[in-house]
Amino acid sequence: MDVLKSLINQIRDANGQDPVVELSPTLRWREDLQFDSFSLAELSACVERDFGVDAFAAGVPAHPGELWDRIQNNNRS
Amino acid sequence: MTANKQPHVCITGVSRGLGLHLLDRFLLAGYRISGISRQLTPELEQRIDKHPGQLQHYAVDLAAENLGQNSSIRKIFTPAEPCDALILNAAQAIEALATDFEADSVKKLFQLNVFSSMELGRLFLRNRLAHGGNGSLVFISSVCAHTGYTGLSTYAASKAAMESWVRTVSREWGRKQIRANSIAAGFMETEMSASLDDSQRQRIFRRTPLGKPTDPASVAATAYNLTTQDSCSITGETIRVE
Repeated sequence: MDVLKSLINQIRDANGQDPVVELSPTLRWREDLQFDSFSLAELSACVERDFGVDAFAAGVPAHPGELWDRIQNNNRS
Repeated sequence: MTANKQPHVCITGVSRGLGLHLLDRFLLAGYRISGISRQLTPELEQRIDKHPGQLQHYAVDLAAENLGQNSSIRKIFTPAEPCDALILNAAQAIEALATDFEADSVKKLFQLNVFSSMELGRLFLRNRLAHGGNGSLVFISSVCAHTGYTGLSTYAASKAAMESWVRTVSREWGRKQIRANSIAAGFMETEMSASLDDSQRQRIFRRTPLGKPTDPASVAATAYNLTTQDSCSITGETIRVE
């Protein structure tokens, strides 16, 4: 999850937001991380760049934990 | 554009006509080019032989469905490698009166001219987002999307649809410094207008501001300029070149 936290913080930084210190798996994209649809699109592209998987193809994951599961499941298959 | 690195452009419809002029302009500027077309023509082959390593050809039928799954397309837009610019040039025209066209042919035309162009645009945008934004998308449209031309209603409609999509993309992704513009090209002496007879040609050219065919090299140069820093404040525009 540290790699994912780093990606999320890069996008937050570009948006002028402070980095998250602890990335809880159940944080909410909008309410807790202030991620709008543009930030999510950017995260989706960066995840594909770094992990080789379009983890948003089946829809937006409910929270960072679900996104991490999708990445892990893809790497295992 | 990435400094100190050979920029990478993807150009569709490179086998003939305006596509060859686009290749020549970007080759001259030193770009690395991923060129897409169904066929490998002698003119294209000649350029590949002359510029090994700079021009890579991908034989792809852009009218096919599930384009995003095509291995060549995935390779061109892989998020691992930046694609700095996309020139959407491939298109098909059907000549038929609005009372006569066949629905299946029009679906195929929209598959190539609109849906595939949007899909390539989507992959390009994702590539740019994976590389911090910037980049330029240029769609080659036609003046007939604005003026209308008898017998080209479906072609004109497909061009107008894409111009609208491009304008909206410019609004959406300007925040990441990704620019998107269209070029409304006039009638050129290319294969797409080869089926017109001389009197039809002269009638068209008399109606143009300069009274002569559009120079494809001028269209190509405009497309090139829209990818450079010189046009860094131009986005969401349709530029007429006729």
